[in-house]
Amino acid sequence: MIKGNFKIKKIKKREATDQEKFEQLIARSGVGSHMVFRSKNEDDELFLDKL
Amino acid sequence: MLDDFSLEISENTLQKMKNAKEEMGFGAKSWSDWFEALFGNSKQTEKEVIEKVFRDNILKIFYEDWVRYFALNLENIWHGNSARKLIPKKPRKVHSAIVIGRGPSLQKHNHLKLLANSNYKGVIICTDGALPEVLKAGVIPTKFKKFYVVTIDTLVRQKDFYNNPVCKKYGNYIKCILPTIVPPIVYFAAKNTGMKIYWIHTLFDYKRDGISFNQIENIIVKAKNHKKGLPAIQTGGNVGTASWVIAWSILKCSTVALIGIDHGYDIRTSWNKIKQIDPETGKIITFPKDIAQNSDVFKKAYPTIYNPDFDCYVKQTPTFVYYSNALKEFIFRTRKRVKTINATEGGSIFGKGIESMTLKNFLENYSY
Repeated sequence: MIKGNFKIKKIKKREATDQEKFEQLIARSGVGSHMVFRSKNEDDELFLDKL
Repeated sequence: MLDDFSLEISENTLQKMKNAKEEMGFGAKSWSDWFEALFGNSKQTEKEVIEKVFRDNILKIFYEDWVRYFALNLENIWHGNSARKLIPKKPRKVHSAIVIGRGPSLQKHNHLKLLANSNYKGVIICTDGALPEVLKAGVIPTKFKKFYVVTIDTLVRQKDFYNNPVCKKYGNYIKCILPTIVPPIVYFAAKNTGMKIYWIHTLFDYKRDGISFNQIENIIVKAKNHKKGLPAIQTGGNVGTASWVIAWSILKCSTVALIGIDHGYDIRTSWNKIKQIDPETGKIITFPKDIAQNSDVFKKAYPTIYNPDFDCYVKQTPTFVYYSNALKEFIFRTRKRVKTINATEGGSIFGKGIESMTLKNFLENYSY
């Protein structure tokens, strides 16, 4: 076994980034009634004759 | 306490970590950089952020309803029609459809009157919310014989559209496409008008090589009568996009025009007049008053965009950004299979693979 120590850098609490503010605003903006479907296989995303 | 932190790992594990760090392109970088890439907040595009937030919210609010409604619909699905029956056995080479939404352009450009007075011979696919006004305007299935209506939203209030007396008047002549996860009360409202119902799966968690509710419902549906199962469609999050998918994938139309599919508002519309679904409760609420409308982040989330095809500006909520991003992407991806025409004379659906023209021009050139 190898034993190692981490050097921990303490990070000051920061303000939300623009991306986080954007995400928070989107989250408050309401919700659709259905969702866009995404798949690892793009060919499966639009129409499937059989599942 | 953090200063004293230490860990023990085997040499084998350390080697695997080194290899993984190397493979991810972090060979020359610090362990800290690599850990940050693994566990920190990776930079997502705005489109990805919007899709992720909406997906999480929608599943949180609707997933249980969807499973419950599917269970309650099962007998009616087993003894009902598959949307597969709507797929033409010998599709015509040239065949057009008009998808009708209920966006503001419909009234602004008097499109229903124009269509009602035309001799259009193609397919009409009406979104459920637009149906009463469409019928009242004279776009009726006794004149336009290939007439379909689609519901995708799984909200109980969709029943109100079908309960409108004008739907009962023409229901016998309309084919209605419903998702397996529709509230049963909406199914019965549509059925009570005399419409013939056709069932479809809506894709939301399908995995070809994994377990998903889409696969489970498919297995259950196939257990009785529907040996081939039902076809499954991308909804794009809304009934307009779903209707566009149905037009080319099931009805095999080679050209699809959109009217009333704006995915946006006129720039003079005040945000305060716009209603939305509360992500916490699923109820309809007015625009939250405490959201600052002058920040850069707001302008990014609620953009005003320029439509160069119709020389107009459109305001979008994140919901419409979410919908239009997806629809535009899907239109581009299927451009060799289906010609999509924005005939709304405005709205946010423009760009690569999308042709724009007035409805009058469309009716003159594609009336088949």
